[in-house]
Amino acid sequence: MPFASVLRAVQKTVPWAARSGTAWSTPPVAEQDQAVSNWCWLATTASVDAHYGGTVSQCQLAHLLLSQTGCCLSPSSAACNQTGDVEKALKTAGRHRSTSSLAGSPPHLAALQTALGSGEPPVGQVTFTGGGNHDVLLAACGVDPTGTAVVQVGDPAPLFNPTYLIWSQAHRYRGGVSWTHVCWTRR
Amino acid sequence: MPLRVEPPDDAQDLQDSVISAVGAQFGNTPTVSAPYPVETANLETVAAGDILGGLLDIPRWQCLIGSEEPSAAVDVMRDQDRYVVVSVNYGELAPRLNEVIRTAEQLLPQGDYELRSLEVPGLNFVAVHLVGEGSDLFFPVLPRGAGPNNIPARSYTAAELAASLQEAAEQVLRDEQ
Repeated sequence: MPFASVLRAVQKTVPWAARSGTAWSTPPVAEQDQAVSNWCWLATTASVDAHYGGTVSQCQLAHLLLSQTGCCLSPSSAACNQTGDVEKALKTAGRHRSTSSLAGSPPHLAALQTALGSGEPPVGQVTFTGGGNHDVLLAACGVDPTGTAVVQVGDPAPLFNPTYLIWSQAHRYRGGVSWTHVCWTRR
Repeated sequence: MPLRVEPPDDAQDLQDSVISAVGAQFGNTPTVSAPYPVETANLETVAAGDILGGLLDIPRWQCLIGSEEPSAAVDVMRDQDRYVVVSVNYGELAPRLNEVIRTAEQLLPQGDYELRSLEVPGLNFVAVHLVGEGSDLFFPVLPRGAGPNNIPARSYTAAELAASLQEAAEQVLRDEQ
């Protein structure tokens, strides 16, 4: 479907110096879309588990963590569609190594590179400037054609999955975030 | 043409920043849209039954980009005297937003509306915001998967949209206490 006419789209020529793609240091880890509106914590945990070869689903985690039984049939019910703690979910799935507090700043790129290089994707927790918490998978590190560090964010919200985030601008993700924690994961 | 965009005066610089940073992902001559403003709503205000009363003061623009059709949305903000690309969204946002804008163009044959985008980050909610003279209209940009509160795809006034999102915002704030 072509661009809407109001957007007045134009063709532009890419400068020669910028004619290459982002080079990821490891293949990006796939993030699942969250099944319902409040399951970013469960989608991210299920994605980590799947990366390590597990098969736990979002709704199975909901059963374990919310003491429910009907979340696979009715995930959008009030009892099932709830927010929660991704650290607790990772522990339940057996995929939690440790958690670091971040006090607002994003995790250091070198630490992300080390974890991803070991095949252990970290999970970031953010609080939006406008309110509300969110959990995302930090799925890959790379360098864009201008030599800028980029992190592929596996954002379980389907409209935003995936997003390439210029890491020097990580505090401005989706209008502004405070990075609160990073959970390091394990096989 | 009832819809219009109000890009910043130096929109050319903004588009050039986008092309230099990410254009190559879409071929040597990608297509890029005019930049439109993105408004960021406050979750507490939404929970109180309002939308426009609590917009955050965050100067933010977005361009859609692709080879022939829009396949990514590029977020751009100001860093002192220059534009910087913050992120490139390869999710459903760009194609769905484009679809919704086209629908709005067809549904509004008369009038004068400025195109903006509205985001409620805490609800993962995005809408096309059409600013008219004395009236605002909103068209939700709904993903194929999970969206907030199963909002139907139709046009909303500010009051209708606020009422539709209020319960979801209240629940998120309650759960996170």
